[in-house]
Amino acid sequence: MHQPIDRRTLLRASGVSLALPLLESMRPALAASEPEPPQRMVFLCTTLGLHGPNLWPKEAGRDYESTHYLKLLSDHRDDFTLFSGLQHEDQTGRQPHDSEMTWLTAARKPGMGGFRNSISVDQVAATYFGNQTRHRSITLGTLKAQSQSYTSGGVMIPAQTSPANLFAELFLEGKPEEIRKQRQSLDDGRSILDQLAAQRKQLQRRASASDNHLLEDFFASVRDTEVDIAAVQGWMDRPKPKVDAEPPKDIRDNADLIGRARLLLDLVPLIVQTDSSRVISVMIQDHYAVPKVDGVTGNHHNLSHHGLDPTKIAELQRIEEEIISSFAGLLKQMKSMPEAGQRLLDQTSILFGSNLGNANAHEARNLPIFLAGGGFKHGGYVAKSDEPLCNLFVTMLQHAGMETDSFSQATGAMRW
Amino acid sequence: MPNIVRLNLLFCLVAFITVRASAGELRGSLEPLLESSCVGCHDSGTETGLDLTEIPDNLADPDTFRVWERVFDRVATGEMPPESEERPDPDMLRSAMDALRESLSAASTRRQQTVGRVPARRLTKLELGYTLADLFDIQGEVVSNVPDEVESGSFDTVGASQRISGVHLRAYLDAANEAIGEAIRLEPNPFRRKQLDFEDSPFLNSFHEKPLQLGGSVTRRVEGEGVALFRDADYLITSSAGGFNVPVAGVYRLTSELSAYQSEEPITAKIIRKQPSGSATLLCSEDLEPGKTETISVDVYLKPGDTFYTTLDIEEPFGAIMAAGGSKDYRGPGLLIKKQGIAGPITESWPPPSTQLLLEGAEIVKRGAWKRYDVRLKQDAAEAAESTLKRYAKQIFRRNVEPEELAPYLELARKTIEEQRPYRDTIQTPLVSMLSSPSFLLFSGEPGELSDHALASRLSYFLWKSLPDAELMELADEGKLVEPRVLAEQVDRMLADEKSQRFVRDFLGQWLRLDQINATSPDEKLYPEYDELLGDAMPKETELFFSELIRENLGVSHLIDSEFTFLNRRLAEHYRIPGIKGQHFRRVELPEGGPRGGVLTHASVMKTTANGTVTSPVTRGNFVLTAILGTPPSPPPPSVGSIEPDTRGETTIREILSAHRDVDSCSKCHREIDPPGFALECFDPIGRFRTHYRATGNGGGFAGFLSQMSYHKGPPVDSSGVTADGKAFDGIAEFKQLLLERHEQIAKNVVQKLVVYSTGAEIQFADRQLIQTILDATRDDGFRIRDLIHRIVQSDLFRQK
Repeated sequence: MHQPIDRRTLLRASGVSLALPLLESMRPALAASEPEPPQRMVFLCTTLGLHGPNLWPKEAGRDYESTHYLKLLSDHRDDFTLFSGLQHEDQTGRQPHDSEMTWLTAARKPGMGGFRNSISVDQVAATYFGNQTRHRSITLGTLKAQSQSYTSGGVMIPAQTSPANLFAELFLEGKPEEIRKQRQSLDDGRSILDQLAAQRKQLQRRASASDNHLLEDFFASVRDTEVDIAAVQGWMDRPKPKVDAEPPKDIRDNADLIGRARLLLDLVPLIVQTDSSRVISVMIQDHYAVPKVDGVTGNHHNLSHHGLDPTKIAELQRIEEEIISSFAGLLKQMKSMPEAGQRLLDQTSILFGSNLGNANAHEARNLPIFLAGGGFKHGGYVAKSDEPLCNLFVTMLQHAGMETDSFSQATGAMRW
Repeated sequence: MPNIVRLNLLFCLVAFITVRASAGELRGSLEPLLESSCVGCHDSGTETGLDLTEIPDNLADPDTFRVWERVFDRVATGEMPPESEERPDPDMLRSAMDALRESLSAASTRRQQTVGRVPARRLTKLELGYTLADLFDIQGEVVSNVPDEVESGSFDTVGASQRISGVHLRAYLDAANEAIGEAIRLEPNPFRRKQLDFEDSPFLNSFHEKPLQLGGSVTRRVEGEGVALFRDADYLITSSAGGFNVPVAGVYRLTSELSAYQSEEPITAKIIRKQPSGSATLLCSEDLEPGKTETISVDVYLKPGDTFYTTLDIEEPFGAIMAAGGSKDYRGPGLLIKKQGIAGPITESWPPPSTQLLLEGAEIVKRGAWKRYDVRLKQDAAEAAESTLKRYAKQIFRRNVEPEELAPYLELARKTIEEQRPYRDTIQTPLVSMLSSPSFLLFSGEPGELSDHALASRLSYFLWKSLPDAELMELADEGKLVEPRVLAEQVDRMLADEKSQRFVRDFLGQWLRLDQINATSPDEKLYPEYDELLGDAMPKETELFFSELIRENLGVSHLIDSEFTFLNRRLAEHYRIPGIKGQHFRRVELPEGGPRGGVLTHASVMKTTANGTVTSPVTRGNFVLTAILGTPPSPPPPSVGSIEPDTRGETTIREILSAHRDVDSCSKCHREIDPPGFALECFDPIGRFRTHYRATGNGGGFAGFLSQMSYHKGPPVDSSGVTADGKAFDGIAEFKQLLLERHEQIAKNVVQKLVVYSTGAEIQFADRQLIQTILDATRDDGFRIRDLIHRIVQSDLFRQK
């Protein structure tokens, strides 16, 4: 009955935990024929929108006249495309900010009766090439564990908020005693999981038919965790990559929204460059605080409900300028780092935008969406009308090598 | 619209034929009604999304069932056929509806009998936390890594919308390990007692005379007495300035001697905990009468890295201090911190009882004052582990555990012994395994009547959000819990226990959205009077009020209108109710003729139904329909525009909304939604009673300049309206009277909410009759809340799987 060895063999046979040795043999020695660098994806969301009148150009196309916000990105004009008219349908949620949950999933009616979220686009990408890196994906947040990355079961993957901890996890070797303890606890974890998996038959006998969905969830989780532990154990035997950067110091002050966001964004090029992960999502938010930005006295959420009051809009604009400049800073870094004769940015698609089109009215339509890098043809402002944002997601997935023409609400790939 | 109807009538014949073709048993009895009143619109050419000619009969299919259930409800409420259409013949309608009701009820009952009413559900994050705390007798916050429950439009206890993922499982493993780590404590007793020294703190001394703009000059050293603080500041009277850092996690007792300083009026002191994440929690607040020194004691759970600070609630004194040339000669009011001491972690003994319990098979030996304790086994490790694990297995699985079920856990223990690992690992590894097992995490089981133990679990997780205690388990072991009298006694005992506050807080948190109380912070310019004291007081009023309804067994109408509430000084000020001194809460009889009374007038509910800047009658109206009446409106059609809030004071929300009423497709729902929202317009986003809106800016002009205000008086508030059934009201008082006429509907809603919350399954068609029985039995006494809880627990709704 209790046959852990058989099951593990099965797991290996299914190829999941084989990914690591395979990768090693697949990666050619640093020799004459340099391998094609992999495609990466970064999703960056500022949850309170961007004030429309400051953002949208009057004319679409390559010759658009720059607007107040776009001027902050003028150094990168040829490296990004701005889209209007994109959205997910059915985003009126139970709570007005519920569209935060669905920015990367497009699940309908967030938070309404019987709502279940669905897999987010970054996690689709992670299932595709996540098992080739130390981390399947990395989710980051400026404020709390909330993220926009969801598993196929619709469960949120908690965001990491401490740049210092993440840096240590990615690039610093632990002390021998810590490593010993960690190995021990991984071993214990495996024994416990073996034991849980063995309960399956007995439990299903006890339960009634309507109980199955959670039981099935449970045993899928056991398997998922086993794979995960196996991968962690595998990677523990390999040295972590070294980077030429000082470990960051966390900013404790919640009000320093921009400082916190920049520390997280500074990690992105390092993660990409070391191939620690190929999928990253970052959520920039601080609903409760008055951000430490010159000239700002109101809290960010309340300013987003400016009620058309010009003094509030002026303060909101200050915050949003800083956020857009942080995005510009990321682009600059990604351009300055070379990879395989190109710029790091050329292999990295960066989607930057918001789940709200007009935060004053909580409207989740006509979302501000930038796509930068990734080797796409950029340089224009593309005005769509009522097109699914998911179509752009599909384009990104295809571009990264996935053979798919569907994701959530998508009707096909987007062209521009 | 009429054109479409006429067009559809043309297709009637076609539709008629289709209906005949797919007619089954159910259809046979419905056909006359469908034919005469329904398929005119709801046929294959429909634009309504419902094609009655295509819906199958098979009620065993959940999707088909839902459609017919919806048809039944919409006809039963008179919503269909629409007013514009001819009325169906009453006899025909009755016989069709009787037939449909019977079929639906039979199908629903059949389903409940075969698979049970309640699908499996798992422990919520909150329940897991309380369970681990009660099981191991620990105080720690060990479930912080467990994913938050996701908004699913209902209670988080509902199994159908719960998920378990690898993210959960890894967090469960962590939580169990952390809980046991917190319970087994073998390090030397970390208990310390420390007097914080502010008078001679070099840090503070450098601030007393620092310039104001550098954050100084707001404190003064008062020789031999302590330190006086004049400004609400978080960086001065802190635990770290007093020389204290939290050494280990635990409960600490903080004792402060405080008094009002240079003040004729009471001074409000606040003590606040700050966590490294930046979040701040008010630990206590106290109004200090002039001339008296108060000793305030508060127990608080602290982790390393946490700090706390003491401050006062006061208007910004910058100008006055500047005028006085600094704090040295300042004569204004302040807070005198005379003494502050901290002691902890507080435990009954050391090592704590939790350690003794887990390691009962061993002797815990002290090796020396500064050394870790030794664990010396008194018997064979395997034997010791077996008896401990057997005891915990019963608690953890909440039932008797067969030897073969225990065997794999003992096997895990045996492995650690073989590997010669410390005895605590021998206990810990199998326990973590039990705590990650479906037998612990899930409530599942066979259809039919709940076993004694399953009943004990359901009851305990309903009223305590945690595992059954020894008394419940004993009654279940003896087979007595199923006796109605015993069950009722237990409900009373459990409600009297402090742990029932967990139920009150969680139930109200989800039902009335009180868990969202801090989701927005009110606009500082429009609502400058909002502060943390007020924010802290708001949900407490509602929780105390609801607890009182349970304790005193008061009628459900109190939710709508009541002659009393619970207030402290700060909240009473907010409500402009005079004569309430001190920051403790007490029951207060409300003045007659005032707007307060009932949960809709609680600042908590008014705050969570606003966004911090403006109120929306749509949001609040929706809340009244959904949470209070239990008749949620249909969600807005896709791609409907939102209202752009405008706080410049030029238009009111009412004017903007009037556009809705003129559009046919909007007005159908909005004539239901908007009126309750209009009635509540007299409460602003922080729940203050208002007669006028506030608009941003000082309003300009010389008067505005003089006023120094960050807002000015906007247009008047109109909280009158006409309900969907044509009854006019001139404000909140009259509206509440109209709601009271529907108190049976409100009672029904409360029963349904409690049933869903406590059982973890939505209301099903077959449940309707049982709910009606509960209402019938409690109607004469005015649907008293405690009676409702008793009736629910005794009903098959609660006692069947």
